[in-house]
Amino acid sequence: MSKKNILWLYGELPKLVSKGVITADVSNKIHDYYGKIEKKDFGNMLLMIFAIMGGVLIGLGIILLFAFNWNDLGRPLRTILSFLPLLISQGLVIFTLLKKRESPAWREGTATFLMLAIAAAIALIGQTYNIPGDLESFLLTWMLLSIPLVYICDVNIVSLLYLIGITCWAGYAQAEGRQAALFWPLLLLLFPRALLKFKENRYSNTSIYLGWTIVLCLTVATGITLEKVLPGLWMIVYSSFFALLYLAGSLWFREAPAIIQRPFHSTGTVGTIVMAYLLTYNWPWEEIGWYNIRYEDRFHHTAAYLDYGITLVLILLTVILLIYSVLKNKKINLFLGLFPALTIGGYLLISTFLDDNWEISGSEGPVLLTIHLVMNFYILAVGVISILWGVKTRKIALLNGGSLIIALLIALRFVFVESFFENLIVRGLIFILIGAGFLIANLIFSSILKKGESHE
Amino acid sequence: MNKQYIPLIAFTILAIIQLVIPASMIFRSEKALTTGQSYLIRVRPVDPYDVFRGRYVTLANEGFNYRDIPEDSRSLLKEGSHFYALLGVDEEGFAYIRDISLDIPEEDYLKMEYNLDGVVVNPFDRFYLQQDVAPKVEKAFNEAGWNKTEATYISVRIKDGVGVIEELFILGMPVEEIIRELSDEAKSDDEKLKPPSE
Repeated sequence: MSKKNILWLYGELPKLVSKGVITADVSNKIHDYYGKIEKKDFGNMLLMIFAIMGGVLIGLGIILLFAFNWNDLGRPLRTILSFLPLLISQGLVIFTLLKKRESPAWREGTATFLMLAIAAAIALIGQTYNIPGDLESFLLTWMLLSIPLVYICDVNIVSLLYLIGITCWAGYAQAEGRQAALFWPLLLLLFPRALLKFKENRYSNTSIYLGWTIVLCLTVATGITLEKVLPGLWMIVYSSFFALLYLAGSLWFREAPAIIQRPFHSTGTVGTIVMAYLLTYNWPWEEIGWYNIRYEDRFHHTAAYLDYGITLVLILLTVILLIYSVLKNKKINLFLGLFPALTIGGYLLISTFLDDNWEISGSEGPVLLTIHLVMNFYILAVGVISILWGVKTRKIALLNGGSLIIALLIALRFVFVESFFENLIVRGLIFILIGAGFLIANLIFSSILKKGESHE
Repeated sequence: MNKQYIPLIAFTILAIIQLVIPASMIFRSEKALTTGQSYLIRVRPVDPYDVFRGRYVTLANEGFNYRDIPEDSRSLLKEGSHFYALLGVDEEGFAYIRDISLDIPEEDYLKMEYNLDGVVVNPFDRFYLQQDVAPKVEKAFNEAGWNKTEATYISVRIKDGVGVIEELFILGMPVEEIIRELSDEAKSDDEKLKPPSE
C-alpha cells in the first residue's frame, strides 16, 4: 500500500475505534503491521532548495561581476580571479564535510556551487587565453571532475546535472563526427548511486527525479550513440528499450499511485505506443536491412559493433523480464512487453526481400501490407485490452488511456493514409466492420453485465 | 583511520585534480606567451553579418587550411587524428603551413587536427571581447572591408605545438587601441552634447 493510503488509514483508525467498528487492540495491530510512516519534512526541503538556489546564484553573480571590467584587468589578475569561485566553493565543501555533514541543504548547496565553479574556471581561463572552442572536451572534463562529488558529498542535484551533461556531451560528440560510445561507461559511473537510492526508497522524491532524468537522458542518448551503419536497427533498439522500461516499471515500481511517480512505466508505455503508431507507416521500413548497409566515410564500421551489442543486450534483458513477468503471474505485461517481437519479425521479413526498386507494386508490397495490418491490429488490441483491464481493476486512467489509443488510431487511419489504404471504399468498409465489431461487443457485454446483476 | 575522514581525504584529492586541470591550461598557454616565437596570421571574420556571437569574434585563418598544405604531403593526413604543421613566413611577414609531419619535428611547429569530416580544424577560431565594446569593434571591421585580409590579422605565440593569440589587429592597429580611440571619441561626443554650464 502506498504511503499516502497508509496515512489516510491511520487518520481513519481513531474514528473507527470511537464508533466501535474496530477495537483499540485491532487499531494498534494495524499500526504495528504497516509501521511508522515518516511524514515529509517540508522544512528541510525548503532549506535545501534555498541552499541550492543560493549556491547557483552566488556562482553566477560572481561571474557577472568579473565580466564588468574584465578586459581592463591584466591577464595575471584575470587568471587569479578565474580560480576564486573554485577555491571558495572547495572551501565551503570542506567546511560542510567537517561541520555540516548531516545537513542535506549544506551538502547540496555547496556541491552544486562547486560543480558550477569548475565550469566557470575552465571557461574563464579559456576566455583569458582565447583557447579554441571545443565544447565536447569542455563538457567531458567538467562532468568527470564533478561526478566524484555525488559519492563524496552524497548529493542528488549534481547527479541530475551529470546525467544531463553527459547526454549533451554525447550529442556534441556525435554532431562533430566523433563517436559517443563513451556515454555508456560514463552512465555506469552513476549506477551505484542510482541503485542505492532506489533500494532505500524507490518512491521518494529523489528516486522519482532520478528515475525521470535517467529515462529521458537514455531515450535521447540511445539514439545518439548508435552508429547507424545498419539502417533500421533503431526500430529494434527503441522497441526493446521502451519494452524494457515498461517491464521494469511494472515489476518493481508499480505501487506509486500517480503516473508522474512511475517514470519507467509511463515512458515505456508511451514510447511503445508511439513506436507502434510510427511503424504503421511505410517510411521507417524503407531501405533497411543488411542489403542497405552504409559505407560512406562518416560511418565507422568498428563502432557499429556497439549498435549490435546494444541491440543484443536490450533484447536479452527484455526476454528475461518477460519470463520473470510470467513467473510472477503478471501476464498482462506481455501485451506491451512483446512489441519488440513484432518489430523484429517485420524487420527480418523486409530485410530479406531483395529489391533495388522500392515501388509498392514490387515483391515487398504484400510484406509491407502484412506489417501494416499487424501493427494496426496490435494497437487496436492494446487499446481494447486497456479498456477491459481498466474496467476489471476499476482504474479510470486505464479506461481513458485505452479509449485515447483507439481514438488516435481511428484519426490517423482516417486522415494520414498510404498507398493501399488510400482507396476510400476499402477504408470505408474496414471502418464499418470494426465499428460493427465494437457494437456487437457492446451488446455481448451488456447481456453479461445484466446476467451478473440479476444473479446478485 | 576514523571513517569520517575518508570523504575529506577523497575530496582533498579531488580538489587538487580540479585545480590542476585549469592550472595546466594556464601553464601551457603562459609558456607559449612568454617563451614562444611570434607569428602573424591573416584572418577574416567568418560571418560578416554576425561577426560577434556572444562575447567573441569568430575567425577564419588564411594559410592554415587544407588547401595550404603541400599536395604531396596531404596523403599523410589521417581523418580523426592530429598532425604537426611546420611553419613558414611569406614575403609580407605572415605565417602559413610550409609542410606537415606526423612526428614531433625539431623546428617550430603547431599541433593541429584533421577531423573526421576531412577538415583541418582551425586552431585560432575565436578572440574574446567584452560585450559592450563588441559593436565598436564590429564597426571597425566593417570599415576595414571584408575582402582585405591584409587589414586584419592576429599575432600568436607558438611553443612546443601550442599557439596562443596575443592580439587582434584591424587595419594594422591592435584592437585594444581601436577600443580606446572609439571610447575617447564617444566621450568627446558626449561632452559636445552636454548643455553649456551657466
